[in-house]
Amino acid sequence: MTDATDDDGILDELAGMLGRVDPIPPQVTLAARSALAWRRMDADLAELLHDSALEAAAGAVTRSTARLRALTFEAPSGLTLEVEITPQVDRRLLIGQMVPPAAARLVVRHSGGAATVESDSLGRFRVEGVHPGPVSLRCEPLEGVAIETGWVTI
Amino acid sequence: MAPHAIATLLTAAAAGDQDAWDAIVSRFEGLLWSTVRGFRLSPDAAADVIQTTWLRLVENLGDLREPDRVGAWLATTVRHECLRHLKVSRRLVPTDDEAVFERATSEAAPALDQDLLRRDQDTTMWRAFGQIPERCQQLLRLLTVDPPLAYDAVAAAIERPIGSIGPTRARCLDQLRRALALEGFVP
Repeated sequence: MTDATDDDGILDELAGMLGRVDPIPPQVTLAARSALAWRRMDADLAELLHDSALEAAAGAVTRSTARLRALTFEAPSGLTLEVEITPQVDRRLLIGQMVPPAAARLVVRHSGGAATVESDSLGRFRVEGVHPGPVSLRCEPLEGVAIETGWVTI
Repeated sequence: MAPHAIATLLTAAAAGDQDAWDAIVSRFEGLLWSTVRGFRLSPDAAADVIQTTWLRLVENLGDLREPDRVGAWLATTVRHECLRHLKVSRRLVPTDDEAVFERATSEAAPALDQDLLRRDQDTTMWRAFGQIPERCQQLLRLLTVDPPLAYDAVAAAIERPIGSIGPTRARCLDQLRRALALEGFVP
C-alpha cells in the first residue's frame, strides 16, 4: 500500500515523461483547428447506417471481399447513399449509388482536398484518388435538399 | 473551465467563431490524443481517428443534447473510432471490450522519435509504462492530461463506471511502480 502523495508524485513524473516523449504532434492540432471549415451548410446530415467493416470480421470473409468495405448513409428524407471503398496503394477508389437513383453533383471531402463528380441517370458515381483518412460526401441533387454524410475514416 | 463556458464556446463555434473552436480544441485535444495513443494506434492512424472525431463534433455542433458533457461525448466518439479502426485494420478479432482491454501487451510500444528519448529516465519510464496492462496505460494517460479531465470524460474514454476510476487508478499505479522497479528506475 502506498499513500496518495506518492501516487500523485508518480503521476506527475508520468505526465512529464509523456509530455516530452509522446507529445501531441503540431499537425494534429492544426488539422483540428481547420476542421471548423467543414461546418455543414444548407444540407441535411446523412447518418452512417451500416459499415461492413464492423460486421465482416464476425463471419468468414472470402479473399475477394476482404479488401472491400461498404458504407451506407441515410438522410432524413430517406435518400440513401451506398459507397464501396477499394484500397489502391496509397489512395482509395469510391464507387457509389444513390437510392432512389437521381442525377446529382457529389463532392467528396477528404484529407487531400475535395473532388467533384456527377452521378449518372441511374444514380451511380465513381471517385478515384481519394486520400486515406477522414472522408465525407456532400450530395447535391438537381432537385431537393443537399445532404452531407457523417465523417468516416477510410 | 466552467461547464457553461463550454456550452457558450460550442454555440459560438456553431456560428463559425474560429477562436471559440480553437479554445474547444485546446481544452480537449489531450483527451483525444491520450485515448488513441492508449489504444496503441500508429501516429498516422491516431491522427486520422482524431481528425474524424473533430469533424464529427463539427457536424453535430448545433445538435448536442448535453453540451456540458461534450468531453464525455468526444471520449465516447474517439473510443468508438479507435475500435472501428482496429477492426478495419484487422488487428482485432471480434470479441468483447474486456478482451480488448486485457489484450496481452507483448506488442511493441508505439514508435518513437529517437531524438525525443533524450533523457535516460524518460526512456526507462517509457519502457516500464509499456509493460503494464494496456487498460492501465489508457487510464493513466487520461489522468495525466493537462488541464485535468472531468471524471465523466475519463469514464467514457475507458467505458467504465466513474466509481471504478479511483480503485483502478491505485491498482494501475502499483503496477507502474513495480514495472519501474524492475527497470531500475531511480526517481
